[in-house]
Amino acid sequence: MPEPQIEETSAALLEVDDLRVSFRTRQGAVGAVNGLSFSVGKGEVLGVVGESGSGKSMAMYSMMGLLADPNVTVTGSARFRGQELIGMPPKRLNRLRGNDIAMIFQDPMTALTPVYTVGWQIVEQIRTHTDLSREDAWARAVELLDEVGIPDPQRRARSYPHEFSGGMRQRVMIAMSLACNPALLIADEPTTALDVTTQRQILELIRKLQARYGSSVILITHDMGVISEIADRVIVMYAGRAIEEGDRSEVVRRPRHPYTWGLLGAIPRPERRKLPLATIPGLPPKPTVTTVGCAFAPRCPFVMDKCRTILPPLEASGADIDHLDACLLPGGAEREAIRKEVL
Amino acid sequence: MILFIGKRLGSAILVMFAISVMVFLIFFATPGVDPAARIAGRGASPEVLAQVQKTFGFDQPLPVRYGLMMDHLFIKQDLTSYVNVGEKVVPQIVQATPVTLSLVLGAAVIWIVLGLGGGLLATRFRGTFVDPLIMIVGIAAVSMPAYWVGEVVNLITQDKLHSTVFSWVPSLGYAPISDPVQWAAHLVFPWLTLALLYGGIYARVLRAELVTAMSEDYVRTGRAKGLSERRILWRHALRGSLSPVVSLFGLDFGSLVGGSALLTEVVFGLPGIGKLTWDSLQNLDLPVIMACVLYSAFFVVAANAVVDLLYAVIDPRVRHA
Amino acid sequence: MTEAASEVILRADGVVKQFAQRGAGRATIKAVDGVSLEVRKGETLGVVGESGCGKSTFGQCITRLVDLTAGTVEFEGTDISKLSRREMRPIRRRMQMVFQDPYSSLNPRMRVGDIVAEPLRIHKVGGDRAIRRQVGDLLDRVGFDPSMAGRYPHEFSGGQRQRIGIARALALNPSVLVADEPVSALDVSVQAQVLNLLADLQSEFGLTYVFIAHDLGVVEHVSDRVAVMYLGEIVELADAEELYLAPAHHYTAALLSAIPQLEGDELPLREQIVLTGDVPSPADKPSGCAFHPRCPAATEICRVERPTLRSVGEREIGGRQVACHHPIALPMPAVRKQ
Repeated sequence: MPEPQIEETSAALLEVDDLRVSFRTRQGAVGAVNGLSFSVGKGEVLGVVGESGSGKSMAMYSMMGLLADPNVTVTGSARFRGQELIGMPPKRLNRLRGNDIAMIFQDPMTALTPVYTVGWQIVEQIRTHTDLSREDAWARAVELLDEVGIPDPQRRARSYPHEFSGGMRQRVMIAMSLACNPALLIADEPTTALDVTTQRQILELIRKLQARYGSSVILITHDMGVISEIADRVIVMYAGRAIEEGDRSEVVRRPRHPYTWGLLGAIPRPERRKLPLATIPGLPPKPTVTTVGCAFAPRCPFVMDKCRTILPPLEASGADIDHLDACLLPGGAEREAIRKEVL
Repeated sequence: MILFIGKRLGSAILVMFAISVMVFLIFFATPGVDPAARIAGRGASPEVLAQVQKTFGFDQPLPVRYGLMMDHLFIKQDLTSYVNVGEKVVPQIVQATPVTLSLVLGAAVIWIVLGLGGGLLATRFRGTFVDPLIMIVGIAAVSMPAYWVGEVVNLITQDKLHSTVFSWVPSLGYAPISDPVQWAAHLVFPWLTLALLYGGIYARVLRAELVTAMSEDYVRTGRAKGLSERRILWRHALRGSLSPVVSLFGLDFGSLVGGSALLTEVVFGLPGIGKLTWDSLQNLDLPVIMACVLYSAFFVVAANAVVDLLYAVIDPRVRHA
Repeated sequence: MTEAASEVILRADGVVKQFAQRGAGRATIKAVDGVSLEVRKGETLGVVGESGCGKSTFGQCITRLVDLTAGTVEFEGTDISKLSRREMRPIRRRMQMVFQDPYSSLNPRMRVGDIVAEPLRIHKVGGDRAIRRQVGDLLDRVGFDPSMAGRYPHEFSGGQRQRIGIARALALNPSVLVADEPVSALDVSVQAQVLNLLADLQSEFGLTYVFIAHDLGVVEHVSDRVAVMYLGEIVELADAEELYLAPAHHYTAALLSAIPQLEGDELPLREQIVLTGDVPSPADKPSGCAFHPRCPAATEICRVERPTLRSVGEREIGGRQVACHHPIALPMPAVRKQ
């Protein structure tokens, strides 16, 4: 395959700039992603966290050309190794998808075609992108199944998806996604549909394989706990925008955006058993309502007048220049003091 | 597998038994039906009537009469008509079967091609004018009654344009398959007429199934794998969408071979099972009715068994259930 | 806890629920396999376990939404396990359920006010005006303006619908609320709202909760005592705090260590236990201790003999119970019983 001639100047594997996704509906255009910018470095695990409707999945799907709906408009830029993904013709995109960029999804029950054996589906993946013979591809599929911890892979390759449990199916999905050694793996809520003990296994597996293959991973989840276990860097999304971004421990230990405070405070913790949880009043904004200013303003306990008119930029407000947030509250130690009152 | 076939055969026999008993009872419970009087003819003397009753066993109790009829139909195979006295029933069925089979098989091939093609095309070109066009043609085909289409076709091919374009079309009727060219020439318009109706239905059903399948998660997985849209449609979406089409086909095929192609047969003058059943019903000719109904039941049950087998081939989940 | 608070309000004894499996073979699945426990007045008893552990079926057993195969359920002193539908009616007023799916548990064609009023009308509590006033109160109590009564469920979000479901459950002033995964379909921030609401209502009305969920973090947070279920059986039953600090059953330990931890949380020192394999299907439940194929401490006896739930720890009554041949030693004195 001819590599793109653009030189990889930075360490970034994927650079997303001002990504916007909007849907045409009867009520007019609805913005699902409203100007999202981020980058993923080589070998990095980026966690994208947000509640339902925050646009986290939509952003990834739009980049990957998985929103085949004619009512969807995607603008902005997403460059993978310098190649622009937005608007890339399907033929070229198909050479990237599954080969350089792989995806796994939330529900392993429905993500595999029910009428083919899992071996067949992995072979299909391999042979779409390589010239391997059927036999070699089969052998590789068995090898992959073994690698993701499926017992008796030789036999299990001939089993159908419904003959696997949820956790095992997610392993199959992971095996399939790794088939072509992708440089980037996008995992969309990969453990949400699984039991906790299975979730633990899958997270360990992703971590192990990520270390072995050195792939970059974008992990989309609503669960701060999952993020905290696996991500190097975290983006918190709200209403189609990134509102906080930084190193995992920075965001988890010293979050700077009031929404992140609420999100972390809402998680039940054993040491605060039976005490009321911190909550975020109200509801996430409906995408049909376009807000001027900060989208979180109506729910924010610290809202100021200017929040309703000025859209806060995503920028560093503290000592750590890599820790960004989109909030108009005073930065530095002052912000830290406000946080300590609530979290 | 053997168990499956055994089970199916068992249930087929059970169904046929139940149907035959029902037909039998309904026939004798119908007021004004006295087979003896029919056989003996109008104004026969009581002695003749009694004689007829005795020879045909009408004086026996019902279960014995039923047994006798089954014996004549299946074992001795010499059951005779009550109406055309002396005419044996089994040869009539044997004669009519190839006509109906020829008609339905040929039509089935055409409608399957039309239906699958239409459904696939409509799905592939969803969002363009092709999709609604195919669907409108489909609904139009479904809406036109077969006998009307048949008459129009006949009007054109046998009359209006018979001297020019359609001079090769033979007159109505059936030609045995021993002369394949004549056979096909006689059947091509009946085929098309019958296939038009079913092709329309199948295209619509398949399109609905495919559209649902194309929004499934595994289709998204296929796209994320880098598969082409064509491959996703043909290899992933189509397979699962075939199940309802196959079950529909089983029902349609079974009932058509069993005699539901009656209207087409009548319009094109084909002496098939449908026509035979129709005539026997008109004459209340129990032996022929019984033979036709059992024959038909057999095909419906057999077609359903084949459908179940195909189901298991198409969808592995069924195999283990 | 006061003397009155430890009064047992609901007692399950040897509850078994068996389902016939579809298809040939005529195999049966024991979804609940001999569960005994007591719920005390005013407490929150958490029931936690992974998919297929029978926790939801157990919830339906104690509310008699399904018939029991064996065992008894005693509610406020009466055995309700064999009552007929009609005889259950007055009981239902006192024991209500809240369901997981806030989307399907509300009739989409009914106005919210009518949904909340329905139990009142069924049980003929007061006249039209009284009912309307009460509905207003209930809606207000779960955080809605009473003027919302005229709206339909689809106009509400998941968390709001769950609150409507809670208002409906509260309409008849029950003493026990059985909540089956009430927050698992909700976003974290909304989940916290509902959990806080449930806690407020409990202290306000003196409610008793049976809180069924798969998320041990949530169950730990809301419960006084926690029952851990695995393949239809209770494997451990203990005070929530004790359970969290020192699990006695290896499965509990694995569950606890599987909860994703937020960095910076002060955790009790805990070994990371990653279980192998998935939860087996209840249809082919392992012999002996059902957990033995995945258990790090399993020995021969675990394969053969099913351990019974027995008390360990210092308190004989109301203390910790565990069903294990080799329980993890508790960091307290007077543990050794073997």
